[in-house]
Formats: sequence, C-alpha cells, structure tokens
Amino acid sequence: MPYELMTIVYLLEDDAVTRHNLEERLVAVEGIKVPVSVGTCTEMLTAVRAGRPDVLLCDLQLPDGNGVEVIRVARDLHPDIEVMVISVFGDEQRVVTALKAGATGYLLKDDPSSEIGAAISQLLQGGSPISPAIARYLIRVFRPTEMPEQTPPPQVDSAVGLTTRELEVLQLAAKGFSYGEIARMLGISGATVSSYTKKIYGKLAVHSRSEAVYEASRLGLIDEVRRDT
Amino acid sequence: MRLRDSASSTKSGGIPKRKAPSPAFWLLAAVLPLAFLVGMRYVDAPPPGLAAWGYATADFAPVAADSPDELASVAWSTVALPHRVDVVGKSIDVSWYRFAVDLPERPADLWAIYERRPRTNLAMFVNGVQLTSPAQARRPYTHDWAPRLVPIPNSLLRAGRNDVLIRSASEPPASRLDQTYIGPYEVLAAAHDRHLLLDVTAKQATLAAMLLFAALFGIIYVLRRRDTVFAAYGITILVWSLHVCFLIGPERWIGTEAQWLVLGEFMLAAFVICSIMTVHRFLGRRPRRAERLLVAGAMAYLLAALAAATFLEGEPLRVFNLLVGVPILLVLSGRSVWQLARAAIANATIERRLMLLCALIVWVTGVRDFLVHVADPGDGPHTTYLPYTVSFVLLLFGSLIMFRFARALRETEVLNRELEARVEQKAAELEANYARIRVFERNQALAGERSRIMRDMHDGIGGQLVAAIALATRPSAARELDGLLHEALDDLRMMIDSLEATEADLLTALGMLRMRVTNRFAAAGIEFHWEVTDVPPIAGFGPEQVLQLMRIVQEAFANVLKHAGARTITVRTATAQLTLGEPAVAIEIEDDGRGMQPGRPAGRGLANMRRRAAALAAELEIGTTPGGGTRVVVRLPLAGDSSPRDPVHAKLARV
Repeated sequence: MPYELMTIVYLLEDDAVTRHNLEERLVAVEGIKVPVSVGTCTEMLTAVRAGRPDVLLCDLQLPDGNGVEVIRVARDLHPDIEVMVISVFGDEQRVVTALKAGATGYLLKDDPSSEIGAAISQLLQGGSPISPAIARYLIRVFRPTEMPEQTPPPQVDSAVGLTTRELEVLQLAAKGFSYGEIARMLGISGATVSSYTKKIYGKLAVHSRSEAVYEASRLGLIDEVRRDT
Repeated sequence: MRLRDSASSTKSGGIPKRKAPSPAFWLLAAVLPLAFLVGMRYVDAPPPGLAAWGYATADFAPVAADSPDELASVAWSTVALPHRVDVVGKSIDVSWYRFAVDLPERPADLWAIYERRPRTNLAMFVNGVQLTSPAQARRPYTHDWAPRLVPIPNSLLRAGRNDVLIRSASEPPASRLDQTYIGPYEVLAAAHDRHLLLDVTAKQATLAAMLLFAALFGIIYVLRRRDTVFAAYGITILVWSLHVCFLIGPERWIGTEAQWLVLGEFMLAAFVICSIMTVHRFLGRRPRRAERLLVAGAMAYLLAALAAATFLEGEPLRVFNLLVGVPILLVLSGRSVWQLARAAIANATIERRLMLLCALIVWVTGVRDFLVHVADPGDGPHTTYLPYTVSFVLLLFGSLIMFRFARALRETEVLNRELEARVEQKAAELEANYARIRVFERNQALAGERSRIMRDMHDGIGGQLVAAIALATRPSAARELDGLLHEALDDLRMMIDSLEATEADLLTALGMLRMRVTNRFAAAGIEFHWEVTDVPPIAGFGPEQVLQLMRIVQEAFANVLKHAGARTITVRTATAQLTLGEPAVAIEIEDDGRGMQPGRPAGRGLANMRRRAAALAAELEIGTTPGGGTRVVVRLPLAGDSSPRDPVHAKLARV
C-alpha cells in the first residue's frame, strides 16, 4: 500500500513494554503506520507540531505531564484528526476526561489487533465507541436539571444540547445494547448510530469548554482564557 | 416584670440583700403627710376678702311657697349656716332663707350672691325680684359641688335694708344651704373661679387621668395574668374614679337620691378595701379568708345601707357612718399601712418605701378628714382633702409603675439579646460538633470502603495473581497464564465498574459486563441476545452489591463460555417475586447449550455463586431450559437486604 494511503498513527505511551506491544499490534493491522511512538508529552508535542497524524493514540498519565494537554494542542493544531485515549480499564472517569479534551474514541491496552483495527477504522469512518457507563454519564451531563451542581452556565450555546435521537441512542447504550441492536431498534444503520456518538462527544467537548469559560469568567479569569482560545 | 418587689420572693432563693430604711426616710415619712395637709390647707384657704361678705346665720322658714308674696305671714327662725335638715314625709322639700343686707347707699359696682356648694335647687330673689328660676334646673340636686355665682342687677339694690330671699328645693333625704356670700361681684367672682378650679376642674382632670391608668393596668393584667397586683391596682383606681364621679357628677341616673348617696359613700369604702387587697398582693400575701370576710362585710353593709335608704326617711346612717363606719375603714387601712411599714423595715426596697409613703399620706389625710367631720358633724364648709391626696398619690404611683414596666421591658430586651448571643454561640458549637461528627463518619465510611476494596481484591485479583505466579514457574503454561491474567484484569475492571456504579444502575452495570466479555463470546461464536427491560430501583443497591451480582453473572457467563457449547446466550431482566411473594427483580442468563451434566459435580464456581447470592439476600435458581440449555436466575428483593449489613456502608451511601 502506498504510504499516502496508509493511516498514520502517532502513539504516546510511557511504559516501554506496553508501547512496543501496542506498536506491534498496530502495525499488524493492514494499512496502519506508526511513524511516531514516544513516551513523553514533550516529544509528542514536538511531533504534532512537526507533522500531522490521522490518529493520535494517547495515554493520560505521563511522566512529564498529562495527556489531556497533548490532546488539546493536537486538536487545536489539526482540528480534523482523530484522537483516542488508551487506558487499562476504559473506565468512565479517564475516558470522559479525554473526551472533554477532544478525544473521540478509546482503546483498552489489552485489546487484540483486530479490535484496534476495527476501532480505528470506525473512527476514520466517522463513528465512535461508547460504553454503558459513559452513555449514562453523558445523559446526566446533558440533562442538567437533575444534577444541580452541574447546571450549565446560561451562555452555553444551545447547539450543544442533545437531539431526541441522540438521547435515545444514549439511553439504549446505557442499558448495554450494542450499536447493532440500537440500530435495529431505531431503524437506522449501525454506522449512523456510531456517528451519533461521535457528534455527542464533540458536543461534550464544546460543552466542557464553555463551562470552563463560564467558570473562568465567574472567577475573573476570562481575559486569560480568551487569549488562550 | 413584677410590681411586687423581690424581697418577698427571695425567701426561696437568690441573694438576700436586706436593707433597713434610714432615719432620714422615717423623718420624710413623718413630715411628708403633714406637709401635704399644710399644702392642702394653703390651696383651700378662703380667697382674700371673701370672709367679710359671708353670712353665718340666716332667717329660715320651712314653707312650700313658690314666691316671696306668699311669705307675708310666715314665722322666721334664725339658723346657723351651713344649714341642714332631714327631709321626712315628702318627696320634695321647699325651704326659704332670708338675708337682710344693709347698705349705706346704693353700690356703684356690680354685686352678686355666691354659693360654694349649692347641692340643692336654688331660686334667688332680691327685694322681691327673682334672679334665678328653679325651673332652670332639671332636678333638685344634693351633689352639685360646682360653685354658683349669681349677679344682682344694680337697679335692684337700694340704700338701707335689702331683702335677699333664697328658695331651696330639695329631694330627700336632706335639705341644705351652704355658707352664703352677698357682696361685690369682683371679690366673689375671684372666689368662684378658684373654687371651680379646686372642686370641679381639678377633679375632672384627675378623673380622666385615672381612668386612663385603670385601662392601662387592665391591659397589663390581661397580658400578664400572673401579676394580680396589676389587676388589684387597676380596680382600686377604677373604684376611686367612681367615687370622684359621685363627687362631681351632677346627674343622678339610678334610684332615689338617698340610694345614690349610699352608693357614693360605698365607693369610698370599696376603695379602702381594694387598697388593702392591693397591698396584700404587693407584699405577696394572700390572706384569702380575711379578704373574703372583708368583701362580704362590705357587701352586707352596702345592702343594709341601701335598704335603710330605701325604707327609712332622712339620713339614719349618717352618724353611724361617721362614728363607726369611717373609723373601721381607718383601722383596716391603718393595718395595711402598718404591714407596709414592717415590710419596709424588713427590707427597704425603693418600691416598699414609696408605697409606704403613699399609704401614709392617704391614711393621714383620711384621719384628718374624719377628725374635721367629727369636730363639726354638721354639713360644714370644710373641704375633704382625700380626693386630692388619693388622686395625686394614685397618679404618682401609677407613673412609677409605668416607668418600672418600661425599664423591665428594656431589661427584657437586653436579656433577650444576651440570650440570642448565647443561642448563637451554642449553635456554632453544635455546628462544630456536627462537623466533627460528619468528618468522623466520613472517615469511618472511607475506612469501611477501603477495607471492602481490599477484601474484593483479595477475593479476586489477589488469588488470581497467586495462581498466575504458580503457573509462571511451569514453562509450558503460557496459554493458561494468559487466560488467568486476563481473568485477573477482567476482575479488576469489574471492581472499577462497580465503584463507578454510583446510582447503582443495574442495567448499566450489566451492560458494562457485557461489553467486557463481548469479544470472547464473539470469538467463541456465541451470539448475545440482550433482552433487558427497565426495572424498579433496588433499596440499598450500592457498589458492593453491584460487584456481588456482577460476579454471579460473570460466573454464569464463564460457564456458558467454557462448558455449554452454546450458539446463543440470552440475558433478560424482569420484575418477579421471591418464593415468599416479596417483589423482586429477576436477572436471567440462558443458553442453548448442552445444559448441566447430571454426572458433573457442582464446581467451585457454582458454590461461589450461591455464596454471593446469599450475601445479597437473593434467590439463585440454576435449572434447565425446555430446549436443554442452562438457565441461571437471580432474584433480588426490591426491599434490598433486610439483614443487618455493614453499618459503615449505609453511612457511605448517605455521605
């Protein structure tokens, strides 16, 4: 396969054994190339400034910083790349943190090559994975009246609200239904369902960003934030 | 606030601070009443120049004539003024008085006739010409204390002898004529103005003030039923006000004149009795029997006096009242003065001293009035001082009590503020205590949660890692080791999932488990049938319970994967009932495999499932489907585990 047609994956993972293992599994997938595979934020920041990956695979806890920062910078530099967080557990807390920073998918560190390949191609085709716990979390975040302490600020763009269909997808996903089952139940295609998820992740990122702006303005830090954004 | 001073209540406790009155006080107590009498004497002194125009005697004729023309053949007798006769055997008495006024020449200035206390209906004639008509008055009075000044037109007077005739019409019981003055209008008018102020205006003013005070004390008593002294004091003022009313009220509105007089006199007795009862309450004493006796005696006397006034003519009780009734009242009230004096000696609080002074002034004035009447039993011109003294003292004392009341209110406000401050302080302390307790509870809950996680790790991943280490020593066990380590990772993920199940959402927890095993089922070619439906929430279904349930379900999944040889697995949730009928949630895991082998001994996995179900108070049923597959049903009671659970856990749910 010519290099230009291959999917370029940048990998950031501090544990060398895991990194190599992941790298091997990634390369094992047809059409994936891993030109950058590093263990620190600094190295990865340099890399994303120098080049543009199709997919950034990123751990969160790193020796010289938090992967969330790397995700943010990479998304600012290359708004249309895919970002996946790699996690041991795929637990709600970590994945949500990454989603808020702009990640659109996640991988488990022990996922076999076939899974990794499927996940990446799903992302590139415009879809995202979801777990029931994350779905449940998203329902809570976007239905603020039930969680007073998470009430979104009034200036939040109404565009970040969920559509009825999106909410239906989340509700079914939270009950453990697979994309295929949800697609059958709603009479749409599986790919459409996963694209809903991706849109919802995008809204979550916008939502958390405006929430941050609101918090900052409330604390009198708004100017700094504006300069940042 | 208590009007009754503290000394009487210190018997039961408190700091007994006793203080006897100083000699200066006793001097004051002796001098003040006398000073009062002297002051009254000065105020009531005859106006200068008046005495020269007074008549000590008059010619008197008890003839029921209407005009002087009918008096030609009447026999006159000389009587001393003031003059008084009982009216007996008739409803109206008419008497004539004649004064001879010798003038050297006709006076240039205006003259007048002046009566200080007319008390009957008077018509006056000068040299046969009438000055005032009896018809101008509505009724013969005996109680009009307002002085009357009648000017004489100059043209009526002449040099030499002038005849002044006064016709007095009166109802029973008595007919009177007060001291009469005939002289220059200017002199008599000055006396008239002074007496009007003293006899009418001053009494009216004090009457209004006293009625106001009586109302105020009545209100205080309504608000503070405990302090009966306010009621007693208010009633005393009210009774005295009625007495003053009788003294200045010109109009009778009930009964006969004799009965009216009895009522007026009774008000004085009632005032004395009320005063005695007020003193009792002031000193904190309640001699109920004595008080009842007093009230009963007064009522009996009132009835007897009314009966006498109704059935006997004249004023039969007049002398009896003066010589027996009034002394009895003086003795009784003297006893109250004595009680007050002893209380003041025992402990000279400012209230007791003031009360004693007031009582002394009133009592001495009463004695003075009595002596003056006894010295001159006729209806003399002397003024009784009691109305002025009592009114003055009552108003003084009423003001004092009002001041004390205001002060007590201020003290109460200060006290309230202190109390509020203390309550706030206590509240802050309590809040601090609660905060400590909350921290303690949270720490306990956290400690409990920590120990649960330790237990779970020991239960799952710990054992699996030990087994993995054991396997690792065997070189050919790579595949088994891989499986075991994956199992350990799965278990760890399940623990983390259970910790995140903050809302204890059963379906989400099941969904997470499904997601974790989806790959393995897909690899084994087993299709998932996910037939979950919404179920009611289960009481007390926290992370610990979620993990127990997940382990049961995972064990069931593992059995399907390992042994069943199934093509599909179906997971179903539904509402159900326990064997005893309690509402429950059922979770079914069903496969279409070979079912349980009858010969195969129940493995460690099944025993674990039963143990965990028991820990959840759930029912576990493992059976066979009609198609031959295996069906595992867990039924969780909606009421939760009613058996006593780790109390720390329940707290964590609250924190």
